[in-house]
Amino acid sequence: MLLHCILNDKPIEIEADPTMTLLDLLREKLHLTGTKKSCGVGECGACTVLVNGEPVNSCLYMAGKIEGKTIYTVEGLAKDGRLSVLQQSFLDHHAVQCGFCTPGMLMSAKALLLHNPHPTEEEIRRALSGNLCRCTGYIAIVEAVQDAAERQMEDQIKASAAETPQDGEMQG
Amino acid sequence: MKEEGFVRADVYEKLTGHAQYADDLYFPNMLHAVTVHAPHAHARILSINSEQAEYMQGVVGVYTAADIPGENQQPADKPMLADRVVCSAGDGVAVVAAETLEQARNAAKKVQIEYEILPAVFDPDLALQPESVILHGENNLACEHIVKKGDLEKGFSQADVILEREYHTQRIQHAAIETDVAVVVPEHGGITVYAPCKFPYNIKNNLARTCGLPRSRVRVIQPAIGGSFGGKDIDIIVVATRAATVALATNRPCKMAWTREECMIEGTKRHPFRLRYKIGARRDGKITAVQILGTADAGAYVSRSLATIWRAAVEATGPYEIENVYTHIRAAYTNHVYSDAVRGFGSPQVDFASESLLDELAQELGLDPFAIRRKNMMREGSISATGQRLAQVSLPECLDRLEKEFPLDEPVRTEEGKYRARGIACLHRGESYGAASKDADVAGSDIATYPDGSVNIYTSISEVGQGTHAVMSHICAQLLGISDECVTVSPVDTAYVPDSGATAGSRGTISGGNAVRLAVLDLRNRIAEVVSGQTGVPADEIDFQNGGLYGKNGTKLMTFGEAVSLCHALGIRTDACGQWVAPKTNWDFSKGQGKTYYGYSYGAAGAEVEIDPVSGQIEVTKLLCLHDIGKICNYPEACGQITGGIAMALGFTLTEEVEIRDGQVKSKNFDTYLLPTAMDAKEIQALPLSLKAAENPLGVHGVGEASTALVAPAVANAVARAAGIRLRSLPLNLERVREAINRKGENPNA
Repeated sequence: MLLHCILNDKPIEIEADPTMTLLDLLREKLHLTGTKKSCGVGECGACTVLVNGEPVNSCLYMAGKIEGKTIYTVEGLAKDGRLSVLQQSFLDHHAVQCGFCTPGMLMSAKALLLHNPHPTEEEIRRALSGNLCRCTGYIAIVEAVQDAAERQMEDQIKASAAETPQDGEMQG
Repeated sequence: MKEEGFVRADVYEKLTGHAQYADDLYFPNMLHAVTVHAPHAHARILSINSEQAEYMQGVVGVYTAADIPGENQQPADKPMLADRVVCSAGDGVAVVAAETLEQARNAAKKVQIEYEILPAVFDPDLALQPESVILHGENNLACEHIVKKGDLEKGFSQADVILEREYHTQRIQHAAIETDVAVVVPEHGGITVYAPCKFPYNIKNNLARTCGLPRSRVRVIQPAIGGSFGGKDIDIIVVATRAATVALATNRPCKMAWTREECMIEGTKRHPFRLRYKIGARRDGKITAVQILGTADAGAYVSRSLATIWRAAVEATGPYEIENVYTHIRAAYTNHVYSDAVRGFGSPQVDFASESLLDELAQELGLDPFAIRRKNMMREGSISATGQRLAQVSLPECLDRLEKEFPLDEPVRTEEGKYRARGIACLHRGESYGAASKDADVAGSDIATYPDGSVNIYTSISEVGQGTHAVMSHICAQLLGISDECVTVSPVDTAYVPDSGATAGSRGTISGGNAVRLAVLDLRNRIAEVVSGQTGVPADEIDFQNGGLYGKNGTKLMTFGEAVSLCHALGIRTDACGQWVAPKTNWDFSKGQGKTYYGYSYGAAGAEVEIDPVSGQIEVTKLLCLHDIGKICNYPEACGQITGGIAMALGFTLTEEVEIRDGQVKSKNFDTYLLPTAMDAKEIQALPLSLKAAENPLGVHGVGEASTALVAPAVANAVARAAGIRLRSLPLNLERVREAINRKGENPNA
C-alpha cells in the first residue's frame, strides 16, 4: 500500500505493508533508527513519536494509520544542526546517560509542551510516566523539561517584543 | 548548591537520534537469527527436527549445539546452545537464520524438539541436600565462601543480648532499556562483533573460544550502549556466539537481537539470597559476635557466582568493627534461570540484611539507630572482619553529615491515617575486582597527540551511560593543560584499544582514569625533554597550561600543538601507553582472611516513608543518599549516577521481582516486571561528598554500585519505625505490608 504523510516537516510517499508497525516502518523502511525498540508492548515508551501532535507508542501503531497525518520523530527536533530548546535543556541538565530512552522521552516531553506550555512538576511527571529510564532516576529529566518550558516562554516573550511572526508549531 | 560540571561529548548524538546502537546497524546481505528456547526447566533433548523450518521462505539454516564452531560449554557454565540437556526453562536449543527477522521468527516456531522431562530442583537449600537432583558434577554447590575472625563462642558468651533473624532478597533483572543485541560480520579471516558490552576483551576472548578462532581474529566494536547495570557481558557472549555461528556457517553478516521477553526468560539475574544472622551485643550496644549463614540461588549455571558470593561474604557484617565473626555463604545450582552480576554484585543483598539487623538490635537495646552505628562503626585504622586494616575511612563523617541533613524525628500518624517515619542505613563497599577475582586488576589507556593540538584516548573502559569517557577526557585535558574539547575518546574497538578490563566493580573512573594519568605523565616528560633541548629551559621547569608549554617565569615557549610538531620532526613518538595496575590484594581461602579490596568507599542514607495501612502502599516521601567519592570529577554526572542507582534500588526495594513458578519466568515484560517510573522516584536527593581522598593517585572512588545498596535497608528501617512492622523479605510490596499490618493487629506484640 502506498502511504503518504508529513514526516519531520517533509512530505513523503512510501510503499509499505499497512499492518506493519509504525516503529518498523520508521526503522526498517525509512532508516530513521533514532526511534527505539525495547519492550514491543507499549510499556516503556522508547518508541514514542508524535502523530498529529499526540504522543503514540509506535510499536503498537499500525503503519497504515499514518495516511495523511503529520509525524515527528527525534530526528525532526534539531533544526539546521542546532539543538532545539528541549534538547539543549536535556544537555544542560545532564538528563542523558545511556541515551536509549532519550528519543522517546524527548517526544513525550515535546507533546506535553505543545499542549501545556507551563506544566507543573506533577504534570511533567505524569506526562513522562509512560517512558521508562533505568539510568537517571528521572530527576534531571524532569528538571530539564521544566527549564525548557521556562526558556520557551522567555523566547516567546522576546519574539513577541520584536513583533516577528512566530512559528509556534515546532519550538520544542 | 549546584556545582559546575562539564558536558559529555556522547550526548549530542544521543539527543538527535543519530547515536548508533547495535540494533541500528545494518550490513549488506545481513541475516537475522532467532533463538529457539526450551520450554522445560530440566529436560533431556531427545531429538531436534528442523526440516519443516528449513524449507520455509527465507530460511537459510537451523543450527544446534553441534554447529557451534568452537567450545560450546565450560564446566558448569552455560552452553551457547543446550547440548543433550537443558537445565533451565528459556535455555537456547537452536538458532534459526533467515533473510528477514519475521521469517526467522516464524520458522523458529516450527523447529520441533522432543524432550524427556527430568525432575527439577528450585529451592537452593533443598538443592544442597544429598538426595537432590544434581545439575553439574557431584553436588549442587556452585561455590562457598567463609570469613572467620576471632572466637565466635567467646563473643556470644560476652553478649547481653542475642538476636537471630532471617532475611530474604529476590531475583531482579538489569533491565537496561536496550535489550541484548549483537551483529557479527565475517571478515579478515575471522569475525567482527558489534555489540554493547561492559568488558570488550571478555567478549573477544570468549568469542575466540566459542568460535574456535585465535583471539587475534576476533575484533569487538562497541556501538553506543543502551545501559549495562552489571549486564551486557555474559548474555552478550551467548547472543554474539549464536550470531557468529550463523555468520561463520554462511559467510554473511548476522544479527541477533533479543526481545524484552527473551531477556527476561533467558538473560541473567541478580542472585536471590537467604541470610540467617545471629548477633550478640552488650547492653551498651557494642557488638561482640556475628554469625551469618547464607544460601544464594545461582540458578542453572555458575557464571560469576564465585565473585558475587565472595563479595557478599566479605561485606556481610556491614561497616562495623566486630571482634568475632563467622560468615559462610553458599551458592547452589537450581533449575532456575541463572544468576550473575547485577549492579551491586552481592552488596545490596547483604546490606539489606545487615543494616536491617542493626536497627532490630538498636530497638532491642533501646538505642538510637545513629548511636548503635557510631558505637560499632569502622574508623581510621579499624580491622575488618577479614583482618584488613582500613585507611581513609570516612564513615564517621558520613553519619555526622546524614544526621545533620536528615535527623530522625519521631514517628507520626498523619491526618490521612498514614504512618510516617524515617530510617537510616550506611555502608562500606570494596572497590574494584577484589582479591578473589580471576581477572588481573589492570587497565590500559593509551593516548595519541597530533600537531594540531588534538588528542585521542584509546581505552576499553566502556561508556555504558555513566559518563566515564568524558571524565577520562577531562583528566587528560587537565594534565596536558589543554581544553576538554581537544580530547576525544576513540570509539571502542579491540583492533586498537588496549585491554582495560571490565567496566564493573565501580572501577571505570578509578582504573581508566589512572591509566590515562600514567600515559599523560609519560608523554609529558618526553615532550618536555624535547622542548627543553630546543629552548634550553630545563625540562622539569616546563609547565603545561592554557594550551601551551611555559617556562618557570611564565614565558610561553610554544603551543602544545607546536611541541607535538617538534617531536614529530625529530622522530620522537607522540603517543603513550598507560597501564594502571591496582594495588595488591590477597585472600587466604582456608583462613577466610586477607586484604580483600585495595580500598573501600563509604556512604549513608536516610529514607522517609508514609504507609497506608489499608492498601499496604509504601510511599517513599524523602530519600537522601550521600556517598564519599573522594575527588569529584564531574559533579552533576556524579549526582546523576547516584540518583540512577537510588532509583534502581527503589525498584529492588518496592516493586521489582522476576517471578518464577516451577522454573517458568512469569514476569516477561515491563507490564509485570515493574520498574520505577517518573511518578515513583520523586523526592530523591543524591549527595556526592569529597571527604577523604581514595587510595589511588587520582583520589577517586567509584559510585556506580554503592548507590544501589543503601535504599532497601533505609526504607525497611523507616517502615519498622513508622508502623512497627519488620519486613525481612524484599520487595516490600503491598501484600507483604498488608499482611504484616494485619498480623500486628491480631497480636500487638508481634
